[in-house]
Amino acid sequence: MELEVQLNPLPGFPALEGAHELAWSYLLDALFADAYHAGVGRLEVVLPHPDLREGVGLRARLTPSSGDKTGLALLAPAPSGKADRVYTLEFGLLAPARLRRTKPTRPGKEPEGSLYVYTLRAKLAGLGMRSPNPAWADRAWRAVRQHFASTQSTPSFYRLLTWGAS
Amino acid sequence: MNPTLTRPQPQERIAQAIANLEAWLETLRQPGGYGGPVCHWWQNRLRYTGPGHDWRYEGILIGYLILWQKTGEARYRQRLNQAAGDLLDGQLPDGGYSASRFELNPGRLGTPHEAAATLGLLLSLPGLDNPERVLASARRNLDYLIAQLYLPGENAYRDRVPNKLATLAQALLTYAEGSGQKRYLDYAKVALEQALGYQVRQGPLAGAIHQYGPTATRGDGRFFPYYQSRCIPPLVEGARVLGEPRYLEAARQILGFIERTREPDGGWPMILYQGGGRVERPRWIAANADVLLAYRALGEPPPEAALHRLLEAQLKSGGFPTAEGFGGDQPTPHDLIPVAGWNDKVFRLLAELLPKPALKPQGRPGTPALPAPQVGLTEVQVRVADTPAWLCENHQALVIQTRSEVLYAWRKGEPWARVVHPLLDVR
Repeated sequence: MELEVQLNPLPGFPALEGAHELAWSYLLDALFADAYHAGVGRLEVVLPHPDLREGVGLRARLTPSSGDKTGLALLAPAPSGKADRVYTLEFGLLAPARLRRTKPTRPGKEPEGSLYVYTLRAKLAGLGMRSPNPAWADRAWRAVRQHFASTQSTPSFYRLLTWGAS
Repeated sequence: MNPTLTRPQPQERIAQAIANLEAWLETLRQPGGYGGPVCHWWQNRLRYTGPGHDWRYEGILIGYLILWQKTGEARYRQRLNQAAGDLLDGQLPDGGYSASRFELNPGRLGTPHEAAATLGLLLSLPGLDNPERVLASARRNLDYLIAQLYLPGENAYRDRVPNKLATLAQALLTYAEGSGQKRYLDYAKVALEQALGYQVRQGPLAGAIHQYGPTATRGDGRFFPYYQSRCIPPLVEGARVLGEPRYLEAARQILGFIERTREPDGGWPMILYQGGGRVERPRWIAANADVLLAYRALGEPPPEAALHRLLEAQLKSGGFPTAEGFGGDQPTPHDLIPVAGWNDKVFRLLAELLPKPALKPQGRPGTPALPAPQVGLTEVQVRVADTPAWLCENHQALVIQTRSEVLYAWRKGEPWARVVHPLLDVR
């Protein structure tokens, strides 16, 4: 898939470790899977952090063009443009205030799909992972995974919205 | 060591099983390599279904080499070289492989996955068309892994996971032997010594190796019988190449632990904890081929019950399921989805168990040495969040659906699944 990447670093954006590394696997996989099946051949992505470049580039390399449609992924603030498929990222209740204040771009009224990632339930379950007892820590990790993402509205750190043509 | 009398499996059964498995593996081919979803204890990846240049190539490459050597059929050598080409063509300028993290794919610097894939390349050299290119490629990968993982100031690796260190050590040993580059032996020795620093010396867990080392001297108190088995062949090789009998003794102690934790039906619990607790389920199915290979590495026959349990589990599509018990007593999709990076281990095991003379074409050119695959539609009832569903797989697709809803749909050949219900997209 043809890829164009722009960077718009967001102050206060978390390091891509632990829960955030897992969160971005959900977000980027959902984005690229949708783009592939929607027939996107060229994707323009605006990233909030330079460390995301590798994951985006790798997925683009592993995803063949499946059509001649265009995609635009606004994962950081940028002017909205014309595209057949648009993806926007918003920050939910679990994100720091400075990220929540980032003005979201909404190219329409109702998105076709929503993905809530790194949910409150997962964050609470994750407290048990600090247990010195490895069995308890393993159980907590399993609970984190069970509740980490949802397509239903729920308090979360990230929210990925998928839109039709803009 | 193994009190169970191991009678040879009927040759025909092994031959049919590997013929079916090989047919299933072929359905995973897509541009760039072998794809498919991944189910694992740590995480799952059901959405990304593109090629993974990870440890699946260890068993696929070695399995095809053995099949070719035992049957003389040219198509197995072609597939061996095709698989090697996936890795060589997918190698990045820095020496790493793309999408090498298996249950974390797509991602880079997969451990032990890159070392395992390179080990597969090195052990299959006798059947590869361009061994010089493969050796050069293996060296670039190993140099990359050393640069990323080795800490010269500490003379240790930063990835303190013994089974991963062991696989890296075996790849380094094999490269050193194949290339004559002795300096890689030193790196291998460091890895094996670091891994053995986490072996339990006495008590009920004697012989077992901690899964992970939070510090240079302390283990994490978790013991996976499966991962113990991954340490055995590298230690056996270390003993032979480095002339260090301690490694062989350590490998025998590990196998003693594996034997003590084997259950009567031929399965193993997932985890034993230092404090005495354990995770009984899920229990591996396809992955247990690695455990049986560990017995063979020490010259011990694989326990009959374990081999029987494995063979009995083969699905109609030809693949072997991942596990039993991911969701309790009822089978779940994560139990039954067959995964390339587990089935490669079965492929290698069955290739090793295949008797050579009995399968050679007897003077009839063109007669296949293996029986024709007998594969069809896998159709198994599973439960997803207390709802009955059906997992169906054939050569074209893998679908999971309830009476009213498709929960998962992957058309084979595509790098991303079409449908992944949130109930199944648990990573």
